[in-house]
Amino acid sequence: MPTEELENELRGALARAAADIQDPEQAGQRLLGRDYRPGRGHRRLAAGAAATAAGAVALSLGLTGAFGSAPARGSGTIRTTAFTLVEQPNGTASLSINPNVLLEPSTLQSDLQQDGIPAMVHTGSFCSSEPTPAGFHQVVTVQRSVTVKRSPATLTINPAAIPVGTELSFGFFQLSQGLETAIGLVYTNSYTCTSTATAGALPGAGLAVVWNLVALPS
Amino acid sequence: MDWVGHKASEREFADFAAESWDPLLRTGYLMTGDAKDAEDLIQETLLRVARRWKRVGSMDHPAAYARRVLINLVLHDADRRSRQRAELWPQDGGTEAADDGAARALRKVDDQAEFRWALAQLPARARAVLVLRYWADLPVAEVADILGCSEGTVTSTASRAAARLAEALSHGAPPATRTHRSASMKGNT
Repeated sequence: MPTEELENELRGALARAAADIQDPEQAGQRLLGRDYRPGRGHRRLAAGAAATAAGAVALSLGLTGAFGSAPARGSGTIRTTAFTLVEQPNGTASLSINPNVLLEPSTLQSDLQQDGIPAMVHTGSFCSSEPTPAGFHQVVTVQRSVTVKRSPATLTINPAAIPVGTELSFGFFQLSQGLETAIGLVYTNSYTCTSTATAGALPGAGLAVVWNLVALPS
Repeated sequence: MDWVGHKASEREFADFAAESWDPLLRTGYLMTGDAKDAEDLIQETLLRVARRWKRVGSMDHPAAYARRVLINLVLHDADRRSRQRAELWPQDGGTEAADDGAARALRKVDDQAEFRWALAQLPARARAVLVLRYWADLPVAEVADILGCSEGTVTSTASRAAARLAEALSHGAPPATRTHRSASMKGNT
């Protein structure tokens, strides 16, 4: 049993720490402004992540450790600490990946599917089809040449361009250099998975790898 | 959701959320160490409460239910990461001298960011013991019930956690932590 003195100090220290939170009223307004009824999408915490559609890919994903938290959902936006998924008015979706936070693959997969983006998301493995389905670069564009390590990386995904019978495949590999993310199109009914990190050299066309500023196939 | 189309239930939930968000947010802040993570956590908590509002709204203490949901979300996240639950300390390793030392260290804290950092170094269940017992001011028995452990484990964990807090504070937080800490601390094990 802790001494009474220690218990009092713990109460005081925790009370001071809890009182130190910044702008609780704004957080309260955001929380109370959300629609908690079911089936409303629950996407409210708009992070304002800007989508940048460009050519091919080079992103840096350093890694520090903590898993993303439960998604905050508001209209058109799902935000977790690991990623932000924003529905755009033109029907595309922008996916920003926070390089500082390990994402939970099942969360990203279900949220992509909720946005009409069929996808399989794995950590420690990557699934691909041989031959690779055509049309990847009509489906995914990624911000080119992010030069600041640990800055969010943004992909733009056009679900309308995903060929029938295919889906997106995401594979996240934790390497000593950081996090490697491989992205590709796969045939839903015909693919194989590998647990080997691709180290910036994915086979075949129509695949993107996101790894420590390594440029990707255009 | 069992409240769709029931305006009275929606109003009741809205009243509950208006009364509960602040203590939940601060509890989440202590558990995660990050304001944004706490906000996400509270949103998820309120979503889960809303889904069960017909039942929760009839409880004597729906706020206690919501607090339990919040804590379980954090612990579930920590379990998923660590795959081990040995985060409580059933043997009473605390001594009066150690408690005195911890109390002195806590008394000297003047940097709340550093304190939150030190708190985040604790395993999630140990952090939950301190937050539930000394921030939420719950009786030992209720903390034990929430965490699924004995009352003795709660008290011994509190002493050990306080000693670890003091040790972390004596070493000091990384410099960046003192000014800003954006990474999530939730679920540290």
